[in-house]
Amino acid sequence: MDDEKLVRLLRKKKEEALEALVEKYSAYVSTVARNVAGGTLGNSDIEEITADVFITVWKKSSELCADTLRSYLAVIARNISIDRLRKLHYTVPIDELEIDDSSDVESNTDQRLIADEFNSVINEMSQRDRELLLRYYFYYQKIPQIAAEMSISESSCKTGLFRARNRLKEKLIERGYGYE
Amino acid sequence: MSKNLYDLFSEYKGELPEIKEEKCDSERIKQLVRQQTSEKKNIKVRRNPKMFIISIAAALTAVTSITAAAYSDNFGGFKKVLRRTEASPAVNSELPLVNGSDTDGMEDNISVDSVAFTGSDSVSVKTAGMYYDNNTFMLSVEMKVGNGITIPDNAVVLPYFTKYANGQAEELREQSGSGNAAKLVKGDDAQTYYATFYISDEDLAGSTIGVRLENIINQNVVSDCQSALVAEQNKWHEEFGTDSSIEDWKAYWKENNLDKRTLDFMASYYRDCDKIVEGSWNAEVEVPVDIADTNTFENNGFRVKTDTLSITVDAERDIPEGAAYEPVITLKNGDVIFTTGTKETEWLRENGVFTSEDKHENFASIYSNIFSYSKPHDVDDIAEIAVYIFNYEGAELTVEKNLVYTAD
Repeated sequence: MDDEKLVRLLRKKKEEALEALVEKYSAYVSTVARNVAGGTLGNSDIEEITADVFITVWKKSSELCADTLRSYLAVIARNISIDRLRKLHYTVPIDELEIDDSSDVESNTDQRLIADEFNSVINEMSQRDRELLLRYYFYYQKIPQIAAEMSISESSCKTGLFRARNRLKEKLIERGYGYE
Repeated sequence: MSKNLYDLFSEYKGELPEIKEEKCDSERIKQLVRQQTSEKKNIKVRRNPKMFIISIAAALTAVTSITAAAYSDNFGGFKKVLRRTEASPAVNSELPLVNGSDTDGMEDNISVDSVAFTGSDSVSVKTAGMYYDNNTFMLSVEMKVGNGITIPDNAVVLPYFTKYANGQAEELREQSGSGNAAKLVKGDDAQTYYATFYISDEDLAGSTIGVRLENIINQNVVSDCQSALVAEQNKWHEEFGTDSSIEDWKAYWKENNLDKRTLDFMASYYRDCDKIVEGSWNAEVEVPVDIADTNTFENNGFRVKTDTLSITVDAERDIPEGAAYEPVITLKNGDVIFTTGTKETEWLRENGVFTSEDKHENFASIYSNIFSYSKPHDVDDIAEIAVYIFNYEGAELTVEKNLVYTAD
């Protein structure tokens, strides 16, 4: 069943569409959850998280859009996994970015503005930089995994990621954000 | 203010790259989904963290005793090693020492004496530096491999830790660090490598930590072991019956001691796997008793122990199934310390317990009931300690504030 039809039926609360959604995307969703968990959660936890993702989508089916269904599932899988890890008091990876208090942005540090700026910055980056950053910071993939899936060496992956992070930093500084 | 890059990426709304999908039991997931959609109420279940702490009676043999030493000129070298290596398991970069912050007054928490491990001759191992507080132990080691041994880029070593205290020996497992492979990072010459390990456990002051490093192996072996373990656990689940409820499966897991079977499976896998260097290296570290100036507060069903670098929260009362609790510390200067980024603290913020204007500090590391600060705090500077219980039972979230301590 294609995503357009899936979304149409999900909006109508057709349970067969939910089953079809699970069939089509459970491997993707559980892979995202497993990456975020980084080996700290067992199989049954990952299955519970994956099921929770589909339940969330079911409850919010009125908000679904066929074009972004896959990304929407990934974002929910990521958020639920992080919530679960935090609730179980596991350490969640952190890579801090300092936003300069002295910049003009201080008065506008509304979450939405930062998010919009951030999306715009990411979209300006090269396809390769964006892919490296998304695999590392969005999907929580490890260097060997990224290298294997992008068919590059681990050292070039590390260097590429380092440079992409620096370019992200430069672009954020251009937008008036400090960065450390 | 600061933002976590991982959090920023949760705001990403564009197209995502394709990733290699791993197989999963979609029938099992459908079944879980069906169970939930058929329920009138959706009750969130909080699983307790798996406690992989196993008491053992065995004592380590042929070990070297390390006595904590004062801060020395080698501190710069230790910090250099810390910067090079990624602690295993991954630590929050805000932890003292890791974050490069001012370490004045922390001399008693750091030892940079070089002490040799005993064990296999193929690799000589010595400490490059240690950091310890009452709940945290971080150790960097230098490993010099013999001539003719080639260490590939993705080599790791497996660490195991045993805590000896009050005549008891406890093997510290899982999140505490045992068995969490640490990557070997190349030093200044072809024979020198470094690795850093990090463990959390309560009441480390005055204990002795036995450190055992085993075998240098390829990182891929660790991933393969994890995949094999998942397949094995799936087999156990199938033997039990995949039609039963999650609660029944959890009870079965406990009754049949599947934690131990999991550990045995991993031990057996690592025993039989291909190794880059086969060997075992041992040392013992005495954690000084005087590092902990601990104050204990008990009130409203919670016991909170706090020192300059962390707090430990124990619930003495019944916490409803599905509920979570979070401590919030308010300092006399108005700063607030809490866990950022959780639904619970967002609720506290939205309901005016603190505002975005309040200067706040995130707990640097959270392990089970241990919350570490990102910088030392004087206990006398604390104005209030409260523990909030978030109960998700029923349709409505209920929140209860429990005041544990308030300064006069």
